[in-house]
Order: sequence, then C-alpha cells, then structure tokens
Amino acid sequence: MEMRDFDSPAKNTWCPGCNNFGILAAVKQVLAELVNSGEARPEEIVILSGVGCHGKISDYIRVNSFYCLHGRTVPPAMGIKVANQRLKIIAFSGDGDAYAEGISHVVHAARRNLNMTLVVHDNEVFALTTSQVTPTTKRGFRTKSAPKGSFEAPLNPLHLMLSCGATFVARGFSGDPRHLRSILMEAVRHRGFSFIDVIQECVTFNPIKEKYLPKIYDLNKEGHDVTNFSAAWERASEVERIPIGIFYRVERETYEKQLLGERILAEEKPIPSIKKALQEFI
Amino acid sequence: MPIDPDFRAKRKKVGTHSGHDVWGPVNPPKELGIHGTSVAVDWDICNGDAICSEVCPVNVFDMVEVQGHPTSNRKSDPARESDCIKCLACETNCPTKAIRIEK
Amino acid sequence: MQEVSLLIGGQAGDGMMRAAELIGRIFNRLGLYAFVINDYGSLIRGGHNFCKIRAADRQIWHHRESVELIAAVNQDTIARHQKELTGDGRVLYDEGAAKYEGPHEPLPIPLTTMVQEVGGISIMKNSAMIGAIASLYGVPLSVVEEVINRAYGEKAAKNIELVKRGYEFAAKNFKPILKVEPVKRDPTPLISGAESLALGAVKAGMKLYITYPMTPSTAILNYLGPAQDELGILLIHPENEIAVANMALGAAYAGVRTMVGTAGGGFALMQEAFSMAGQAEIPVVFVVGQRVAPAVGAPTYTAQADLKFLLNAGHGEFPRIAVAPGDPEEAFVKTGEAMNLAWKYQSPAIVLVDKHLLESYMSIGIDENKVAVEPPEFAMGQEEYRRYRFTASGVSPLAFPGQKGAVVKVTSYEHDEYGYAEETADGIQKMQEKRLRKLSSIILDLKGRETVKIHGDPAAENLVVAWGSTKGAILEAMSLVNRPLKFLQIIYLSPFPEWEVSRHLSKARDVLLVEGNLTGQLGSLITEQTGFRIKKAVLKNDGRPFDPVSLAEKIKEAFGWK
Repeated sequence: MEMRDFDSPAKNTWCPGCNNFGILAAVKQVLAELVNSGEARPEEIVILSGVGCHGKISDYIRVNSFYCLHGRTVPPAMGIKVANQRLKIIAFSGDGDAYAEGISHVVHAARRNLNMTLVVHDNEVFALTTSQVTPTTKRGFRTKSAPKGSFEAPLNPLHLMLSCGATFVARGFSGDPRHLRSILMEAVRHRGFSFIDVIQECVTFNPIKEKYLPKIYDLNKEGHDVTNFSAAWERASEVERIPIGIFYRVERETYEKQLLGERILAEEKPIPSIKKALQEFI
Repeated sequence: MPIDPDFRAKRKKVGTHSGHDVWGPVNPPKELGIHGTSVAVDWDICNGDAICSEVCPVNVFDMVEVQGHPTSNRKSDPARESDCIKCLACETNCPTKAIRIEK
Repeated sequence: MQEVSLLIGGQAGDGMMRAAELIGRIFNRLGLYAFVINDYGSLIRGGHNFCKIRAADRQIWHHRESVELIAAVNQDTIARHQKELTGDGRVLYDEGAAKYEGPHEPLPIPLTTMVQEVGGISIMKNSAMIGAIASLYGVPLSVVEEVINRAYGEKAAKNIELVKRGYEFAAKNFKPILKVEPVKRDPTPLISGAESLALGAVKAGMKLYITYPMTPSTAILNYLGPAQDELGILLIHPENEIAVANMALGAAYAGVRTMVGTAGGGFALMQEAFSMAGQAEIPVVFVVGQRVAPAVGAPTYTAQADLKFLLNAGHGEFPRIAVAPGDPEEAFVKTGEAMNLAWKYQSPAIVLVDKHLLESYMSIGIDENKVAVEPPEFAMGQEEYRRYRFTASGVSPLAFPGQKGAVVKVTSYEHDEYGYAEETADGIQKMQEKRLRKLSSIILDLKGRETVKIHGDPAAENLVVAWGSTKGAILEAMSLVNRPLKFLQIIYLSPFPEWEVSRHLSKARDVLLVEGNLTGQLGSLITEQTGFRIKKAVLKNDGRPFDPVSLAEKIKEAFGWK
C-alpha cells in the first residue's frame, strides 16, 4: 500500500501552513508501512480523534475511525481494544482535549498500560475556538480567555505521563517531520501505552516554530538511556534546550492481556443457556 | 537563496514536463529552471532530500533523477500539481526553501 | 391461606441483608413465594439496617408494613419497629445485646453466648437467629441446613452448628407462631431485579458490562463481578461515569453488545455520550437505577423521579428506547428486549429501574426462552461500505472494524453517509431525518410487543395508571380494595405506546395516577403524548416504596369508596 491509498474524499479545512498536514502525512506513511510489513491489515487499524483542529484527522484518513466527543479519545479506544484486541489503535488528541477536558482518561490509560498510541497535537492553545489558554499555554501568553497573559503554571505532559506509568514516552516536533514519523512508527510498534507529545505551532494563533527551532535537539543522539526513569525525568525538565525523541521505553504486561489473555470478545458467542445461573437462585 | 516569489513576472515559460510548466532559463546539466507554476520547485536550489514528498498529505511530488547538476542529482517534481490542497507542508518544511505555493 | 411477615434488624455490618436473603430462600425452598426488602443507610458500619421478609402460598408482589415477628440483634431494632408489630406479634432478640419489656411477647435467646461456645465470630449470630426463626415457623431443620450449606459451602460447619443451637433453643423455649406447610410447585428463583436484568442482558448477547459503583445499580455489579466467568461476559470498572459511557460506545462500535449501569447522578455525567450514541447510531444499553434525588439525595432509598430527566436526556433529537420493568421477571424480559431493540435500530436504550426493584428479592418464574439474540441487519456485498447509508427504515446495515473491505467511520459530528463531517443545510437535514425515521420503525416493531400490561378487571371503569416498581404495591393493594379495578402498567416510556394508553384511558370513567414522585411525571408524559389529563394522583417521594395497605386506603378514597 501507499500513503495515497489512505486519502479520503473529505475536503481539508486546516489553515494553509498548518502543522497538522505534516502529521497527517506522517500518519499515512506509518499506516502504509504497517500494512506493507504485515504488522496489521488495513481493516484492523482504527484511529480516534477528539474535538479541535487535530480532530479532523479522522475525516482525512480513509481508515476505520471513531471521531469522539471533546476530551474522550481514550475511553472509546479502551472499549475498542477490549472488544477486539487484534485491532491496532492510534488516538489523536489536542492539548485542550487531552490535558484539559480529558486528562483523567489519559492518566488512567497510562497507568493501565493499555496497548494503544496517543498522539497529542500540542500547540499550547485552543485554536479551533479562536485562541484560548490550554494547560500547556506558556506564562504570559495572551489569548481571548487570558487577555492580560496567562498566569497559570503550564503542565509538563512528559512528567505527567512518566509519573502515571506510561511505558513509552516521547516528544516530537512538527518542524522535524522525518523525526516525528520515525518516533510515531516506534510508538505504534510498542506493546503498551505509547505517548507522543508533539510540539507544534499554530500558524494562526501561536507561531512558535522559529523561536523553538534553534533550541530543539534529538536526545536519542546524545546517549540517553531510554530505560532510565530518572534520566528521562531530568531530560523532560530541560527548558533551555528542548529535547525531542524517545524519553522512556520499558516493557510491562498490557491491560488487555491481563484482562483477556487471548480472548477476542467480539467473536465470542453468548452462552446458550442461563439455566445453571438461574438454578443458583432456587 | 530561496526561490524567487516573483518568478512568474521575471522568468519565461520555456517548456513543459510531466504535465506542468518549466520556467527558464534552462541550460542542462548546470541550470534546470523552475518546475511547476502553482506548485513551483526551483530545481537549481532543490537538494533532493525529498522531505516535501514525505510531508505532502496528497502526494503531489515525484523524485526524479538528473545528472551533472551541482546541487544534487535528485529533484522534486510537482507531478500532480493539480492535486495540491495548498497546505504549505512542503514549503514550510523545505530546508533550502526551494518551493513556492501559489496562495 | 399461609402468610408470613417478619422483620430482622441490626447495625450495618451485622449481616442483616444476607440473613434476610437466606430466610427468603428457606421459604422459597419450601415452595412458598417470598419477598425480601432491605432498608439501610448510606454507611458501612453502625447505623440501622433492617429487612422485611414476607412469604405466602401464592404469588406475592410486595412486603407488608406490619409484621408478626421482630428478630433483633440489637436494642435499636426493637425500639424503632415495635409499632409495626401486629397485636399478637412477638419480639425475638439476642439477650446478650438487648432487653425487651413491653406489650408483646418477649423471646430472649442467648445468641452471643452461642457464638462464643462454638468459637465463632459475631456475625454468625445470624445463623442461630435463622435457626430460631425456622423453628418458630415450623420449618424442617433439614431445609435450613440445605440452604445454609449451599450459601456458605466449605465454611458452613460453624454456621450449621449455630443454626441447630438456635433451632433447638427455640423449639424448647418458645411456642411456634405457625407451622408452614410446604407447597408443591415448580421451583422458581428467589431473585432480585438487579440479578434478573443482568441475566436478561446476557441472554440477549451482552458480552461486556461497564460500570462505576453507584447505589442502587451497584447490585448489578456485585452480582456480575463474581458471576462473569460463568456467564461468559466481562465486567469493567473504569475511572468515572464519563469513561464508562464512552468506553461502551467504543466496545459497541467494535461489535460487542455492551450495557452500562448507573444511577441518576452517574447518568447525568453520561449524557454527552448518550447523545453521541444517538448521533453516531451506536447501540448501548444504559441501566439507570433511581434513588432519592436531587444531587446525591438519599442514596440508598428508592424513587421514581428521574423519568422526565431520562426521556429528555442528551442534547439534540434522536430516537431512544426506554423501558421500565415492574418486577424481576419483566426486568429479565424487557432488558433483553431493550438490548435487541438497541442493536436492531442502532440507538441508545434505557432500562429505567429503581432501588426497590433492583435490591428486593422475589420468588418469581423466569422463562429463559423469552429472551434470545435478535440479529440486526449486517452489511453484505461488494459496494463501498457506508456506515450511515440512507434507507427507508432509517437503519443502515452494520459492519465492524476488522471486516475486510469495510472502512467503518463513526463520528460525533453531523455526517454524510460514509461518516465524513457534513455542514451543508441539505446534508444536515437529510441525516437528521434519516435518524428520526428509525423512530417510526421502532414504533412499528413495538406494536408487536408488550408495551403495557393490564392487570385486574379489564372491564372495570376505574383505572389505576403507573409504571415501574410500584406495580407490586398496586397489585397487592388491588387485592385489598375488593372492588372492580383495572390497572394499566406502562412498560415502554419511549417510544411512548400512545396507541395502547389512549385506548385504555378513553374507556375509563375515573383514573388515578400512582407514582413515586411529587410532580406526576408519568401523568404529564401521558398528557404530552395523548392529550389526556389525569386529575387524581397518589404521589410521594419519601424514599420508601408504597405500603399496599395504606395505598389501598388511598385508592378507595380517590374513587369515593370510603
């Protein structure tokens, strides 16, 4: 398969120059590679997305999709995985979606080590609703909901995920699409909860690329040990330079294996009779 | 030096290639001109790293082989120019700023 | 006519509910029909818990307020309940924990000492108490032993010993109340609404139950948790109700019949997902157990005040199926039906129940053949799959992710036939109409099913109208009124069976509404749906089920029969 086999007929309405286009292309390439390598059949891939600019990705890829309510990308993903663990799950969320409205679900999916990938399009702003603060908005940034500049301390998504027990924690940068594609491929191949926070600019409301670009570096090229939790935590604390790449990657038993073993619930027939169960009440 | 945004005024169409215009001057193998109009790639700047074709969500570009050009012997060709959705992913990601999308 | 009515009480943590269930089981085993209700506060230890057990040699639907025996493991129980004793009532109590000097006959028994003698723990007092109660009603010891053995399995030995001691003590020291005669009949389960509705769902193909604990629907969790392997299903308890509902959407999208359970407050959190089930046409069954509201209300007490909330829940317009069973047998059948209808019409379904139905036990026949999986329409053929294909019935054939060649796109946005977002005026209107066409299809289907039930005298001109668990109290009250009386029990609340309700209302001379709320919610629904206005009503919202005896008086009063 080629990436164009995933082209959808939906008209794309992202702003010209939107970083989501690069992410979209990376995702289509990863899906094609998954199919070509025999890791998944096209009908076994399900993508999910929340509400916000990022969410439209469900419309823009011709593959099974679940276009969720705002903040709720993770619970349906868990429902799908429990129903049929053969399905490959990739969920997309925004910084408002994942860290504001839906943060509880993200925390618990990481803790459970549900085998899925969560990609957060983190542009530090609510964009589709024309500029309001999110939990990752930097201090002093002016938006319609914080006209004098945000005074709240921003959330560090990597620290959050590390402390919740995510087994794959990474950061991408939409300004480096090739790198982003490679960590996305690694994330999708990871057995367990894989998380990527993608730093991206909003070309309309938060154009940060030029400011961030000189600070960005690939931590995996600097001898970082991805199995060292403390080292991952240290790297995730850096602000003068901005590390991208895989911070942490370990193996742990997945949620669905512990829950189901090899069962595929969607293929199981109901028990033919409840006679025995009724007998217990007599 | 990036692609000249005013190339349509300053240059002349000298031919076509794979269904799109080629803007001169063209003197192979050292000078190859600009390929495409609404999706324009300056082949004299293009370093052939193919990032444009990787980030393009609608697969506009083909990578083609050339010989004897001083910058690179692979160039990005806007073979499906009319498929462009003007997302600018190629333009913003091109490391040599060889691409210009008509907005 | 044999009739038994007793109360047992103690503190929370004393094991009263378990003991009452076992006493109910003993009578059920003898062939009597039993009814067991528990009354407890929102706490784990201390406070006051009591249960009433009624048994008779014919089908009964409810307990009675008055009892001929109080069995108390503490002082408080006697103080609180002695006014409920009949004239010749007696008080059986643990003389190590309580004293009784009053108008009724005292039956002191050294439960605490007995437990110490066998080296047991305090909660085992109940076994000696059960033995004593069995003796007072002339139940053969072997029947009690059988029930206790089944309940406790390997851990039964000390309990059996205590049952014997209690039994022998009572036989030696107390006059029997009566000797119950075994009744020969096909055995029926003594089952709660929670248990039977869970089984109905299983029979209709439920493979996944997702829930967050909330009284009273926790009773379903408490049954399905331990029983899940035997029933071939899976139970999940995620982080909150919002996750519950959204997970259910995901699982159903992937082809698994899924039910969720909650109470009014939990459902309030699920509403957005409920609306998405309507929009995305994902079948999920929501069991909502009513309790006293608003807000946290009185969590462990029953009510019927969430009807209008549920019928109007979820933003936007979409078909919903809502059914309110009135007893455990109906809970079995109608929950199965709700699951089948949800899948046939790809719409959310609500099973509206309450604490009284979910947690009370009742001897009632359940025919498992009344529920089977009714397969929905699946997509076949070679053409490109359209999840929301326009059809005359409004129902688009189903496919699930994993099906070769099908791209299955569901969405919370308004969409076109393929599931891509749609914002054109024409596109929005067409899809809204398509979804609502399903409503007519459901109504057509419901016309072939039991949407209401008529009880009592079908020719009577005096009509009582009610829904849900008040059924039991009304049936009992009718037997006490002793006048020609018809009872219209409305089972389907959405789509509303106006074709049935209008017919019965137009034939009635005098109509009385009975509901567990103060605003007459069913009454205003009837007015909305049929134009008929019911002027007389017996309404209450005090957390307690109706008492058949006082309800009978209110019915007589309303119809001028006093």
